[in-house]
Amino acid sequence: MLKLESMLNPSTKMCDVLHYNVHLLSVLKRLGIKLGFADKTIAQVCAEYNIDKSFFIEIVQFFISKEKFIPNNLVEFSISTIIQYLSKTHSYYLSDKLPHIESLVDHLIVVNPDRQDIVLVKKFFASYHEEFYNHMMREEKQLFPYILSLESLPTEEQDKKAFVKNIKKNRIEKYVHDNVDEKLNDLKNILIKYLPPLRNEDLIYSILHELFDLERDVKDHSLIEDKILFPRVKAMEEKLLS
Amino acid sequence: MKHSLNIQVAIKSYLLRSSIIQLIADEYGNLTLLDQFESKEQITDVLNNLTGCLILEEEYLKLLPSDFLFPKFLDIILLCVNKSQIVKNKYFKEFILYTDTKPEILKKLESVIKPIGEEVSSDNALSDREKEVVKLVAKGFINKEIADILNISIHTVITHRKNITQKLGIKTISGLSIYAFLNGIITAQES
Repeated sequence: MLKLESMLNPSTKMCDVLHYNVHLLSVLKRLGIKLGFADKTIAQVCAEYNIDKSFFIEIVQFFISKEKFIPNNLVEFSISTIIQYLSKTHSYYLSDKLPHIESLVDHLIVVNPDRQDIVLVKKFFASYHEEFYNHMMREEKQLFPYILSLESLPTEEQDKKAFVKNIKKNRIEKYVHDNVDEKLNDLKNILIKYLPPLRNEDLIYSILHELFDLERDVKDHSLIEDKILFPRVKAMEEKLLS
Repeated sequence: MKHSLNIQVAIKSYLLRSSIIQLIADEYGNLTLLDQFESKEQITDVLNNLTGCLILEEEYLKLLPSDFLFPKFLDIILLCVNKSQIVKNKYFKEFILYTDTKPEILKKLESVIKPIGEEVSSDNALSDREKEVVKLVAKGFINKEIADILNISIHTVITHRKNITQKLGIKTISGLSIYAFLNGIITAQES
């Protein structure tokens, strides 16, 4: 296995990046990069898709080092690129992941028609889904538009005042992530510890795999916000207010 | 009703089957009656997917392949004429003999079924008080109301809730409702 950490740069081959960490597959998908890029480098592929290569390398770096990740604040890239990536992740959760898990739970009901407890599990999942949706929407409708607004300083003096007021009101350090993972954790424990055995154990295993994967993905998502996005937003706010 | 468990019955003889079913229904409340097995494939298929406790009639052993491995998490009570012929088989937790009296049968059932229930109730079992709190939480009462109903301070309620979450690994109210339903603390209508 290559030591990707030490050699990661714009001329690293895209395929080597993928072989290094499977989770980067979903990064590519979310950025809209199609497979079949042969031996093209990161720089070449990014140029083709109009993706900021510094940002791409930063994200790969994050997936390599996770909690130990130290953002490289020396490289500049537009905040809207991160927002775009995070937004794609949101729509992946809402349009792919959660509906997929829901369909597995539905199937569980079909094969165990006599089990009232699964109907309750389904209801529980639905309420988790709703909570999750609301959290995503809060970011999409409030947080992201605010962050994007920082990139375009108004020209009119009048607007500038409102602009500064808006920053003071929305300072990023005040932002707290919702606790959407509590319900997810409960659901995992209900399936692992408390739901009596079912006719189709394979389905339960699939659902658990999906839940664990979702939990990991959401955790990464929040970490990217905390470690890559928010520090940059904070720096922008400070610059704008000074 | 005692601890509700997964008790399954596979008995060919009508007379034996009906009397065992009656006995278990009176004592334990619920059981699953397995189909009559006709073929080797059918019985191996069904047995491989079982967990919990199975009361199996000796007659069906003849249908099983000689190298059949019983599922690890299935506790089997064998219903047989004579224990001596089969006793060397370590898969069976207990033997009910055709000549057993009712108390003898109950004692044997108890010895297999009880320990399973006790395993569940290790250190993480909820105390009676905690169960009451879970019940009220699941029914939608807030901490202040629970304190009033149980005549304890709100701090005690919060401590109970903290301990409950730690023991069960479940934190949210809707998660606790499902737990309460699955464990017979509340009924489906209440959840």
